[in-house]
Amino acid sequence: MLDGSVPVLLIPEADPSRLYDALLKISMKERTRRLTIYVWMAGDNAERHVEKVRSIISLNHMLTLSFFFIPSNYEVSRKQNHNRVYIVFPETHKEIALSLVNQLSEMKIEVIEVMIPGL
Amino acid sequence: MMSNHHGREFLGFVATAPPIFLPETLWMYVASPKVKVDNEGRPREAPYGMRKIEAILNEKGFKASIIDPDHLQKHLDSMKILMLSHHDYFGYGPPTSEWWSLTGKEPLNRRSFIKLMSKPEIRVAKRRGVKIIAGGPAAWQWLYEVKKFVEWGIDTVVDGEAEKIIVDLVEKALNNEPLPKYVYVGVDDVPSVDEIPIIRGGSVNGLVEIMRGCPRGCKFCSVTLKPLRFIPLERIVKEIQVNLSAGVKGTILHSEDVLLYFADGVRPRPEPVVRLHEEVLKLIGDNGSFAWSHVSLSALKYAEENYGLISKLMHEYILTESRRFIGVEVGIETGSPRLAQEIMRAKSLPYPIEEWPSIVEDAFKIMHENSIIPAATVILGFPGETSDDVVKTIELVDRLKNYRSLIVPMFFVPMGALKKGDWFIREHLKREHVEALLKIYNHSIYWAEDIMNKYYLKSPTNLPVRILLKLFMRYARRQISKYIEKIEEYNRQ
Repeated sequence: MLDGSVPVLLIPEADPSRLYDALLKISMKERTRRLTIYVWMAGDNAERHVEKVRSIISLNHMLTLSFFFIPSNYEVSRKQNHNRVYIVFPETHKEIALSLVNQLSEMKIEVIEVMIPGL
Repeated sequence: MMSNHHGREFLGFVATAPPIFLPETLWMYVASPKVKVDNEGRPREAPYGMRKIEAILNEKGFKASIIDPDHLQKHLDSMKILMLSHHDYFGYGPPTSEWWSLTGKEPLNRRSFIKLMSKPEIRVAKRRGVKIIAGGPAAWQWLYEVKKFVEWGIDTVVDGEAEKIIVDLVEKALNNEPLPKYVYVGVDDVPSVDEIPIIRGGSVNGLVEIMRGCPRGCKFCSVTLKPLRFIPLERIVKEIQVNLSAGVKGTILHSEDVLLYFADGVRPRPEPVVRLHEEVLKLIGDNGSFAWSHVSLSALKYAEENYGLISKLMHEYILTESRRFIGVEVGIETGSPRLAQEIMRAKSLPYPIEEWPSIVEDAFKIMHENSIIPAATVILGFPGETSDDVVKTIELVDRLKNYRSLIVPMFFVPMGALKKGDWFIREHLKREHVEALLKIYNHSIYWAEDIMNKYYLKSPTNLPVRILLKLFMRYARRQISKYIEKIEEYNRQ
């Protein structure tokens, strides 16, 4: 989205403060305060996910966060030519995360996994 | 709902309430009359934030114009992106949410926005592939209205200062590239002074910003999350010249605290403030309208007690035959030093927060003596607020009864560092809150009548608005008297 923005695929089924901590750590590691976040929705209703986004934003004023909502695959990123993506997921959703990692690997995208223990 | 509120910014507060006593058309006429537009529907005065976005897009070579919502149809064929801005899209901001909660009636600004978005021309534009980007101070409210977000086909919402990111977004929209649904602009992406463009058309009531950000760090405020920047005087002068050329005969200096212009921390410095006023008032002359948007009560007290700055500014520069007072918004927020310590520890600086009620009273006295009429906010329902805190607020309002002022009660809305907090709604009202509301309404109606009689809307062209406002105030006074009788009866039982 913006120059230097780091892409993050987010499976948002965890406590917002833990999700935000993970995002902060990525930003520190990458030495950027811009993250492009692909919120994985898996066909669920949008409102629940937006509520999560709202909670994450309520904890933040440091980072520039651009949110995309994606249904069940990472198709949207094709046009954006990322070659490296973080995936943030709770331990309980490891299987889903792995299937997304496979999709991404097939697209020749390097994936860095960030697992949040428990919820 | 683009309006200059008859050249009286404070009337904009009226537009935040649902129509009471008056029919909606008259209410709109009083609070939000239509702005003058040219043949294309371009307003003479437009909201300042929109002017900034227009300026940056023009600077980068895009053909962007602000169009009054009533004239959108004229641009259906050429429009590629529709950019929206609103002070309060859905009525969740203060004090709209309070009126909504108290009266149970859907606020006017919400209704008029919904009406706008349901207009056939917008639906047609969307079907033709026009992208919709929404922003402005109420951008955050879209995250509470997901259904409308989807239903109206909003492509992107930008939450925060957009100067540095809007060009990127617009390019992506024009190239049909994927757009993020929501962008939150963090501290590193707010523009530096040099990246803030100079407006290219008139702003509402000639408002120009002299600073962005605020050093006080009050927990309930979102402005304080942004870095502090001072706009150089030559840029301020240029923007006032733009306004004058557009036919806007006056200015509002906008800042969270006008007296902190190039200040030494939270201590005002007389020299830059005097120079600012000297230059600005030279431009607008003796007859131009003039106001400050906000000052802090502690800076005002400090400036007067240490340098006689307030009386100097008022009597040597601001007051003239035709400019007999100025208005300004100030924040009291609470009369409780305990609560003030929790939520706005730096608001009283350079004085200690324990002295907050006396600082407020001293500042009100200084303003009263110098023909400054404050519109002050009091916030009820802060997280952690106790009944005793509300009683202290009631006591403070009582101490202010001799000072000409309008006090606006607001219900807490989770923003700033308290954005995780709970909304304060009618159901949370305690007996002390009701007492506080009545005390504040009585204060404001008493002084509103005085202000109307002595200062406000005196020109013959404003006579109808004056009459309607007076009728409204009489009605409000009667309603409040009824409530007071009820409460007293309840107390006796």
